[in-house]
Amino acid sequence: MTESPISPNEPPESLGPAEIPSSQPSRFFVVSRLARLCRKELREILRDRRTIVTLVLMPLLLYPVLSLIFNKLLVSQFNPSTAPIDILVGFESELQANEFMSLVQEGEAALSAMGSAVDPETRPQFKYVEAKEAEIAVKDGIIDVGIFQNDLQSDAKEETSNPIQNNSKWELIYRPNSLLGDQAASYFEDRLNALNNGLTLQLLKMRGLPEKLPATFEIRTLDEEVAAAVSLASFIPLMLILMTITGAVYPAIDLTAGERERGTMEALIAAPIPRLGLLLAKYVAVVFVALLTAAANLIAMTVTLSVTGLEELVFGPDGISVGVLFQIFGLLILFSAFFSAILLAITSFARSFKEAQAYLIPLMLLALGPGVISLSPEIELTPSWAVTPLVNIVLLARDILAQKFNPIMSFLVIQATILYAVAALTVAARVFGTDAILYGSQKGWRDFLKRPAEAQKTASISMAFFCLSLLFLTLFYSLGLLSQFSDQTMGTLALAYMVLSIIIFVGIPSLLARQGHVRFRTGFALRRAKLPHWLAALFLGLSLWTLCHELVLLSQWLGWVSLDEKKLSAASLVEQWRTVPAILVVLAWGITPAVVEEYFFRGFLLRSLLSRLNAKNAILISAIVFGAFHVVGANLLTPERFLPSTLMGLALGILAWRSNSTLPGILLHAVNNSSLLLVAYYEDQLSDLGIGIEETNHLPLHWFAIAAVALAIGWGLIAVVKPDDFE
Amino acid sequence: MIRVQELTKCFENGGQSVLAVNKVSFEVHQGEVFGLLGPNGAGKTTTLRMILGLLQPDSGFAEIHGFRTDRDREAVKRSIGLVSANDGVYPWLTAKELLLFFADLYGVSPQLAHERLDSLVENFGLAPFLNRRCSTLSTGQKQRVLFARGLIHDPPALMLDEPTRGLDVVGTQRVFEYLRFLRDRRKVVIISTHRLDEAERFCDRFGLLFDGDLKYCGPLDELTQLTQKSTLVDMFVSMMSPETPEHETPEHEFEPEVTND
Repeated sequence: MTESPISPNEPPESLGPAEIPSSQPSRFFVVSRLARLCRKELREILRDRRTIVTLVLMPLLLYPVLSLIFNKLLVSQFNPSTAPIDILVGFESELQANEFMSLVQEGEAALSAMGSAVDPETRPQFKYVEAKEAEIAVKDGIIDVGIFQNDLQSDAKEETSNPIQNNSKWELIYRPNSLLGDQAASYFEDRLNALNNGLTLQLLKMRGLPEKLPATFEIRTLDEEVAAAVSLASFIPLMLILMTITGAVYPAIDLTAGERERGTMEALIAAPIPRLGLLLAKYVAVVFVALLTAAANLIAMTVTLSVTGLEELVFGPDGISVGVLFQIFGLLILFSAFFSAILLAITSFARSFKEAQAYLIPLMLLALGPGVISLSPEIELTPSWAVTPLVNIVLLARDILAQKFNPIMSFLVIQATILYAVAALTVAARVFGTDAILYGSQKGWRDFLKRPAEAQKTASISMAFFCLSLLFLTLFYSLGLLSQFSDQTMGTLALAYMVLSIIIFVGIPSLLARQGHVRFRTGFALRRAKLPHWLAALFLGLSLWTLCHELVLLSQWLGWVSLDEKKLSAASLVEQWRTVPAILVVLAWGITPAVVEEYFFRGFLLRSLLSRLNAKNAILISAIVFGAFHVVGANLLTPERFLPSTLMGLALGILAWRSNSTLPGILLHAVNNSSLLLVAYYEDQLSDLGIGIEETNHLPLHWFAIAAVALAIGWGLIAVVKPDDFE
Repeated sequence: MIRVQELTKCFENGGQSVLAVNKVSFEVHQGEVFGLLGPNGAGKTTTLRMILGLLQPDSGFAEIHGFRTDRDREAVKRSIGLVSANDGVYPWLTAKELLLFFADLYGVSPQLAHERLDSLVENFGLAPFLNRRCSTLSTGQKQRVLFARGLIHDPPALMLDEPTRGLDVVGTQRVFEYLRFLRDRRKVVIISTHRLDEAERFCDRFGLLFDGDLKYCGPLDELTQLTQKSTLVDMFVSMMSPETPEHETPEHEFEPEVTND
């Protein structure tokens, strides 16, 4: 028997009687384990021949084949002088061929005399063949051009005494869609015209008539190279992105639906590791393979274009630089991260390879739509396009290739794409390995939306970031919609802004919290705080805005300024505010944002982060998110708001953490916002009192002195007073 | 020890709620092999999946080595090894890589994992194919790799779900040897099967499931005495007989073994 039975050896020590399982592993172990999980997934997927085919063979074959097609179909049209190609010209007899070619040579000489000679090295190459039935041969595609001599009609023959009139004419025929035929016809036409014109001028001269023609003209088309460069450069990112998708599809299916089909999923889910950990390892593997595919495609494309001489045609006379290549690769990293998350979210629902493929086909078709839209040269990367998935990346890549890189718009593209990726991963984590997918329970999709039976203290991080993505999109488009009504009175706009803010920042997290069975008191930290924390909030609120103001100036000095032609200047905005009472301005743009933003950022998001991360990381992440969130407005980007908003996020995060409550932060936020608004609103009055400031000026020093004292008191209170234990 | 307390699970099927497992309770002790028996669809696998934490019970819980499924899910998972007839292998990984991967999943440190691997290689005769990719292994070799996988984290308890399904005589014999191996090492073992003849050979005690209800629970001699049937097959035939009036079902003749809190 080849299969040896299980050895009856004595049990070794490690397999002795049942032991209590090991305790929780250390953080280092968890991280290194995650790395080993990623390595396993990569090992598995990279050993699969199907991956290698997509990764290596596809780019190796695709680009040379594509370049051949371009050369054959386009290059001859765009740039006839780049590469000589044999053009088949058929004559009825050798005699006619010789006669015609001698005329062409004379025409060539005439062109040379006019200074329009063609470089012999780049001249089209003709191959002359005998074709008795020239018309049929052209029709059948045997030859590109057919040339034969037709006798003229009898009335024409009567004038044969005319020295410039021959008794026969040459006829050139070619297929209407034949680029080579068209090229050859143009070539011959130019030379025969030159010959005829040369003779005409000579005769005019002989008869003493003026050589100047009555209507000199020139017909000029657009620079074909430039036109080609624009359209082809748009095509390249789409091509790269589609190939990157191709690279990611198989690993995504294999590592999710494939697990179930192989029968390895149950054992995987039975292991004591969070599903998110398993999914992250798979995500890293899919991104890695997608990136390898992207890199292979980028290299293959660059080498092919360079070798075939198409580089100049596609990227212009300077070709493509290493820097641009790196920028494109950076964008492909972003795209891989985004699309891999989408793929995993979809394939996690599938119970088999076939099911996964069926789900992905519509996605691929959907991906093609925006990709093709972005080929249109009149579409520019506006903020709206910058938050539209897929289109944003293709447009940004196109702009990078055209050397129109815009850092602010890139920031928006990156921010939006990361949020979409996080949202997709959240969905994947929710679905991957659930019993509905694992055992095909009929509840299926309903299980996905099922409310947990047990109440949760805080939202999960995945839910919090899913909410953030949803907020980002809803806010962006809502503000865009609101900006369409700028002709309304300020009072109406203020009201609309308040209602929108409440619906978005309070409505969405509340709905998700309810669905996730998150307790509002703990999940949003809506609990009483100690008096010193309220005082700290007040002092910080009265002082922090001075630092924020200086940070705005610093950002402007760094060149981080608003990027929109339509943006209102601060002065005109303040003028509009002054059309309504100060209390309404403070309520709409001071207090309402303070309440609703604290509800989400320091409530829902920070509480979720604090439940999984240490306080330092949780506060830092929430502050950066808060800062980045404030950069994006309706049709407007305000990068100068990043630093001050992040600073505010840090202060508010620390206060919320130390006080174990979101409420003091609302006071700090509201006082800070209102101080800034009121200073702007009453600027004239303040100036009359000699304490006015201007937008671009630093604050008076004595203001800083007062603010420093208030800051010190605020921080002192936060540092000294210990909070109650959080539930 | 494993203690199962009133585990209940309903599934929805075609818009109707189907009770798959109904208040099932039993205990399994260290060094004991417990056979969870029943025809197809009786609720055996569902019960095992709830114990493993793969399915959320509608009510009830299981306790493994002092850890409860409703409170300490990770600790419960760490305490159990799983061997199932549905199990597959990763075709592109070698047997060694697969075992070390599962050791990692169960939080075994790399050094300890290698030590455990060495002993499992010796005990299950894995050496000749340890560095071969799983796609090239025979059915028997895969079976041995999966046996080893269930023990790589040295759990106190093992669940074997239909381990002899689709196996020939040699494969079935290997399962018997595996169970002897586990019993020798004083593991708590629950095995689900519908092969009653085989179960008689390798289980110490039995739980007879039918339509989600645990009809009998105890050692064979006790069951024989209670049911007046000499074999498990006869017991099942009697249990499933439609002629048996409800009030005469064996369930009413004796109480299944249930442990109170």
